[in-house]
Amino acid sequence: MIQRIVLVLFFAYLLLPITGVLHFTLLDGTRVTAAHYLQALGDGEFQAYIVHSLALAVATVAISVSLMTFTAFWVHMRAPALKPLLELLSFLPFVVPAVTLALGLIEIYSRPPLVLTGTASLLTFAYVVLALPFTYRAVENGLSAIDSRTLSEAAQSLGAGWWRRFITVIVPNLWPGIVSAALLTFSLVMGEFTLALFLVGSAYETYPLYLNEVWRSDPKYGAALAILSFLITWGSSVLILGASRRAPGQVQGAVLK
Amino acid sequence: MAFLTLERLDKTFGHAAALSDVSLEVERGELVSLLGPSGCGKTTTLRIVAGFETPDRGRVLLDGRDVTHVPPERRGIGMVFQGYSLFPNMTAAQNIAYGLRVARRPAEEARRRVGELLDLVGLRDAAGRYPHQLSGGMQQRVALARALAIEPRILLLDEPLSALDAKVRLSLRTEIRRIQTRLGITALYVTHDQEEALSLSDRVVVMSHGRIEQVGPPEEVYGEPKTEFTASFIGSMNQLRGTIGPAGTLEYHGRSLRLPPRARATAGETAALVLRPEAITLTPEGAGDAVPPGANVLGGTLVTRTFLGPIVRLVVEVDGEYLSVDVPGAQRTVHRQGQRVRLWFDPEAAILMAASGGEKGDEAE
Amino acid sequence: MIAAAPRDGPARAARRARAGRAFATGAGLVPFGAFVILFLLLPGAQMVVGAFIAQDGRAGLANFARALAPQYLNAFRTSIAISVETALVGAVVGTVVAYAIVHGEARRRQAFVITFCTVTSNFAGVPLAFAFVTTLGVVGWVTVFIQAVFHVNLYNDLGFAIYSYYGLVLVYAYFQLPLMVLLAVPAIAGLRREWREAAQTLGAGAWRYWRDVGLPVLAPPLVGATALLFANAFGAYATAYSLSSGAINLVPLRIGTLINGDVSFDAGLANALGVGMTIVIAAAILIYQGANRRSRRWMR
Repeated sequence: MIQRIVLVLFFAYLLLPITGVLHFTLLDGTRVTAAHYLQALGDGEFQAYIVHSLALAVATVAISVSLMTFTAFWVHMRAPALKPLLELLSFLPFVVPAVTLALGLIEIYSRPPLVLTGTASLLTFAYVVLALPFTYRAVENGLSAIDSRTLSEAAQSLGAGWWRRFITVIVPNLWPGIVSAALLTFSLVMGEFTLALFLVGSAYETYPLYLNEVWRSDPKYGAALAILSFLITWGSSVLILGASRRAPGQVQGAVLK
Repeated sequence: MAFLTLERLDKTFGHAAALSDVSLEVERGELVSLLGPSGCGKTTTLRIVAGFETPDRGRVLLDGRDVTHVPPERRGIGMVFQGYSLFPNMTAAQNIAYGLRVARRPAEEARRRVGELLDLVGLRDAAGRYPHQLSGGMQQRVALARALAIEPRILLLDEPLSALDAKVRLSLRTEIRRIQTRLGITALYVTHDQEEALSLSDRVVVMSHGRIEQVGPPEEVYGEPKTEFTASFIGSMNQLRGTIGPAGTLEYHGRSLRLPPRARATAGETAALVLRPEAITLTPEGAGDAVPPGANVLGGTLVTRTFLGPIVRLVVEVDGEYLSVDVPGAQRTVHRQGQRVRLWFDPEAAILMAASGGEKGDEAE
Repeated sequence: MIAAAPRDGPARAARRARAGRAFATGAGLVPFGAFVILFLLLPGAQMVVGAFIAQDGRAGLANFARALAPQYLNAFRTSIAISVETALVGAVVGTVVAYAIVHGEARRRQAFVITFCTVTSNFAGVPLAFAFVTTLGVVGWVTVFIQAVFHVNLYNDLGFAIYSYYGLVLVYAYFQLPLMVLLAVPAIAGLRREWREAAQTLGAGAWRYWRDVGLPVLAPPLVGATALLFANAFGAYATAYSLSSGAINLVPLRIGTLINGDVSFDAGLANALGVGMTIVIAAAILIYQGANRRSRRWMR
């Protein structure tokens, strides 16, 4: 009984600010309106910037997921002794604050000959690194859960070469873990503010940066955009739950802000 | 007055009836096994005795007291779980001493007692080790010592050996029995392994679907099963199904088989003669071996021969059915596949079962 | 046969094959290695090295000396304070909630709560700050509601402000709590039922069980989780930035100002501050790792 009260209070607390924003955006005085949401449809900047964020997210997912699936499997099969090192390196970005990462990246990549600051590429690469802990963990959970070694050896005994084994046996079985990793990365990138601010700023403005701008000038519209941002994160997470339900391993994701 | 009495226990979980009208009496100093497949209710029964579950109906009487609604910590029981029950943050010695600590026994007494128990289970050297540093078998021995430390009235064991390797299981099994008899402590032992139950117990309780099928000493449960379930669950059984003929015999594939003397049967009903593989004697056809008068004789073809060490199991095809025959492994007779053989058995060695699965005989109980 | 270095033959070929295989293994690790080195380790190294290069280009501790100026020391003090407070609040409340989840209802609800916590621990930065301003800002609806019903103005009467230190604590708690829940649930779920039951058979009631077994076993993972919460709060930038616009003196914000400030980029000082941050966070992470190692050993 007490447990239920605790959980209800917990949910109430978490839903409170969100309902506040919803309330703010859906009501003009006493009139219910969706105008602030519809405003986004006609806003060219919104469309451009959300496309930027989507592009970054897709690129990051593509690189990060394929890189970590491959690397995790490679180490699992060929160099298991290196696993602790892999775990450590993949854990590192989790604890490195975004500001300090931004600091270091700017110092190295803002000087000739390698000027990458202000480019979407640098941001993408930084995001790949930032996503490492989640991508690696999701894939690794899947690898242990499916006993990839046995599957791989079975395929090998049937004559499949390395690449074929990877693509036709391992990847399909890891699919739920891969999907989880992809969604975690996606929601991470769509919401990331700090690195975007310092590394590219207005050169390739992203959705979170735009949100920050709009909020100050047009609060209601900004609030609507914030709800949209929340829906994107929520949507991805629901999908993650669906994917991981089918997966043997459990996936946790938390982004440091 | 029995030491432990279970009186008509009923227990339902959700829609499933876990126990139906379970009654049992256990004498002081007895080791009684609860034997059956998963879901038969044996663990539920044990947990009710322990106090972790309360029966919907019925009573539990321990040493004269009605403990049905007494919480576990006040029943004076010792329990050994299937595994993982040692407190991970304490050494073996600390685990064993825990019950004494809770009972506020003086430190000196506790220390002495812990030493005694470590010797009893043969783990003196492991006293200072933590559970994760002990093997499965050692952990269970510590668990046993811990349960015995507080001198419980009754020892409850919930499949304590199921999670262990075969070899460890064997040695620990004899050790548990040895300790139990030496201390004279009453024990209730849950297992799904019939070999364990038969070798350890003073009496075996065979359970199925929440009910008791049969209670008796191991020899009786093995040699004189009273229900079809018991017959098929314990050991292997051959079933010769047929119809009772007018002359009081079982008509089986055109042969008339004599019934055991105690059997009562009505002509025309379907029944089965049930007998153990070791009760059948096999001779090659034409070998001329003498068959005792009055024995039931069948003819068939040898299908497979499997050497199992102590016994050789032969499967013989008789008119489309397969019968198992066990012969001692040391007997070096050569058996060839496809060989025509004769099977004979003493009618007294068989049990007549009705089609409904109950024994047909004088109600001896 | 004496083991002299073989000049040719099968042994040499075997060695070559082994070397070739090791090389191929290494080759497969190049992509990952490249990413980690170029975009994680190198920037990290740059920050550390750059901290020791003063503005005039000479090596030394000048930057660190400047980093000890009062405003930066205060920044560290404030950052540590807010991190400790939100970590403790998150830890206590999160543990309670995690316990309620584990000992509560069916599987499905558990899975739902886990997702919910994953989502909300992500919901930080600008949208979160915004949400809290709409709720508890000067004209936030809860503020207005409390004014209307209890006739108390949070801002004027109680001196509360969402963009103050305690406002920030409240906002940080929003993503610290779910994170703690996510970390505490496995720890609490790892308390085996057999321990409780065995303790009962040995005569121990609930209180004794928790004192002798439950809490000692839970302590390492929960302490570790609290340390992680600390690190999480310490490094947070976006939330603090959007909420306080730099009004509150926190280390990440200071670094941010140095990077993006009007004056030319004072790399040395920023690096020194960054090194300071890294040390603090590293200490917290070491606690987390140490605690986890211990609990993992026990829970075998």
